[in-house]
Amino acid sequence: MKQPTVLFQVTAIGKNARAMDSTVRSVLHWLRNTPRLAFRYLLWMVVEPEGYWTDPSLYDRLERAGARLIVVPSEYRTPLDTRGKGRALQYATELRQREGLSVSRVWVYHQDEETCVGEDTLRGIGDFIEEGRSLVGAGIILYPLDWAGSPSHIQELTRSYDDLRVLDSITMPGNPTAGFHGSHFLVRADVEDSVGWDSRGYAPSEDLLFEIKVRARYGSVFGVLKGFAYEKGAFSLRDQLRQRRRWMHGVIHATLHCRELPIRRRFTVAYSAVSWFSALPSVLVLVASLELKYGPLLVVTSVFTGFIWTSMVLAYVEGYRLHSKYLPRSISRIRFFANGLVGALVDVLAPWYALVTHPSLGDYIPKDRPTSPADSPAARRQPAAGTDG
Amino acid sequence: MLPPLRDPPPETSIPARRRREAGPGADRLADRRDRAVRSTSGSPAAEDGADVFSPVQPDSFLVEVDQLRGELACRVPKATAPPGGSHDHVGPPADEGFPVESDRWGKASPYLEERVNLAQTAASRLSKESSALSLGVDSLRRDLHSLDSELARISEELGFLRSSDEESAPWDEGRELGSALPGHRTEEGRESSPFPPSGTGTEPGHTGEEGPTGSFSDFTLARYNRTVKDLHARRRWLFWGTVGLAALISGILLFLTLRANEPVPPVWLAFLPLVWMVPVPFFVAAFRGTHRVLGRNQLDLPEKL
Repeated sequence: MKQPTVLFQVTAIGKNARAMDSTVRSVLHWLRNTPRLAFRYLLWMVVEPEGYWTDPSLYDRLERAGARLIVVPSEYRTPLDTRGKGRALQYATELRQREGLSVSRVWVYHQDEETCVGEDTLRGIGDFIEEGRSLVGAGIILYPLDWAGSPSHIQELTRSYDDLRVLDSITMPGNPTAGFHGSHFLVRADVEDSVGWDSRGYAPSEDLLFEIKVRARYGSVFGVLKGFAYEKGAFSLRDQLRQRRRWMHGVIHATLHCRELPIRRRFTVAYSAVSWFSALPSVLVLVASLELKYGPLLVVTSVFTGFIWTSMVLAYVEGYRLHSKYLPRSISRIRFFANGLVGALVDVLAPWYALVTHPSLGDYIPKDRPTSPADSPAARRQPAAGTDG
Repeated sequence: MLPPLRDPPPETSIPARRRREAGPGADRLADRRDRAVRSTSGSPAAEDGADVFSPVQPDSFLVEVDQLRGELACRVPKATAPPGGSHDHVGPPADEGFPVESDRWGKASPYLEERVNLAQTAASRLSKESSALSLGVDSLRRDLHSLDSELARISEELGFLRSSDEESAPWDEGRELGSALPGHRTEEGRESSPFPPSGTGTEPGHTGEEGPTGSFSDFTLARYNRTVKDLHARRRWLFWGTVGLAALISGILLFLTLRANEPVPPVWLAFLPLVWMVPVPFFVAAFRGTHRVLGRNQLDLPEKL
């Protein structure tokens, strides 16, 4: 039996150079220190030119350390002229095809620029490939990197617990919820390259489109990828809001424009979006109940209200417990509660914010904590602008 | 009348004679010197060759030298007067009736003092070098232990690779595909790591038990397994806890609603709370899905294969 190859592919604009550095180093570190990995490996950094020019020396160092740098040419166009991250992913797909890597023994592990791996991630990948029961694997992401206990960070904890729901939705047909990650998923190269990432125009949620297309073409081929990936949450509420806006635009885009989406699944995706939209009216109706009298109807709603409240609180508590062994600092319960409330309110507002605003193509969420004025996004744009000009 | 001449004592060796000639303090001085010399050559066991790498105790030697110096101080004449002062005084001080010994009989030979200084310097250097040597030996021991454990791991890994019946991929010739880790090749042909060595979950003493540092070196298999095992362990509690708490809250709300006994509102107003029902199927599906995933999948990974 030939050993399979795992291609660790970090696809990003590349402007968060320090995050990229940690990500690549985490892969190299754990490849060195994890015994009994029954796979060969490749490590690609697929970045945009402006990302590369943010810190060329760092990318050069990472290349010397063993990663391969792939800068997507500015003039590159996909057949359907997709833009954003999908364009870079499609470029990598075509590169693999050219280099003969689109074969069944090559697996692609997708990472964002802040997706660090651990010993468990690598062992999980090996375990998944060895089992050979599924073509695509997705797992749970934790957010312990640069954790400060801010409202956006507290809110991120709930996503990890929610990943269990996402895993069920992608592995078990009939789950009336939807969701997929753009990182921490493993896919066989020939499967990914046959589906591709090309779509018309800008797809804000290329990962969801990919999942839909794979499901349409190969059926239910998704499995649970053991091992965590380790990322970092948005640093500010503004970034959190912009991130959620992009997700919501992605869901709306997939619901309205994805032809591969079957009716039933379309309903599932749309219902997930509607559930999220209902959060703000729910809060408003709750506040209004202080003045308005809803009467006997509350007899019906109160039966379910307890379950919803418990589920929401549980997501925070269990999310925190999942992270507790990884967080270098703890915060008081009062601060946890207060910040959780603020973070939740931002998520309540996010879908409506998405309705009235649009993400721009150059919109990216900073993942490098600014350490000096020179690290600020404004300063970082300078080299990119110079290159483009 | 002069006392009669007595026979010479049995100690006729030159050192003994010198000690006797030097006076009653000489024996103590010689004893201290002997002990100081012993302290530079290590413990008595070292003399037997039992443990040539036993660390020396430089402090004891220096203490001995200081005591030696103290003993000498009473025997060696005081140093000359402070610079700038002695040359101005030609005669004795006005308040003393006779000149100082050194002025009268000349200065004592500094030879002995110089020998002690040189001996002290040499001993100090010797003790430092001995300490460095002993540290080097410790480092060597650690390296040997590390080498031993790494060789054991190499054997295990080789056994694992052989058992997986590895063959070369058809496309990997001349490309950077490989299970060999990256790093620049040195002139000697050895692969050197571009990163400093760091603790890992596979090394002894680093089992993921330490507190988290916030870096990726925390992300060990042991820590992951503890996390998911804890999650699995409280699965039933999570299920029944959620159901119980939800029932309790709902019961209280229901009680309050019935107790309020509010009149039936206008239709448009009565339908407003229905918006709370929109996400109910989502939460029910999420609850069911979460427990189904936990029930079907043991998320932990084997630590020992």
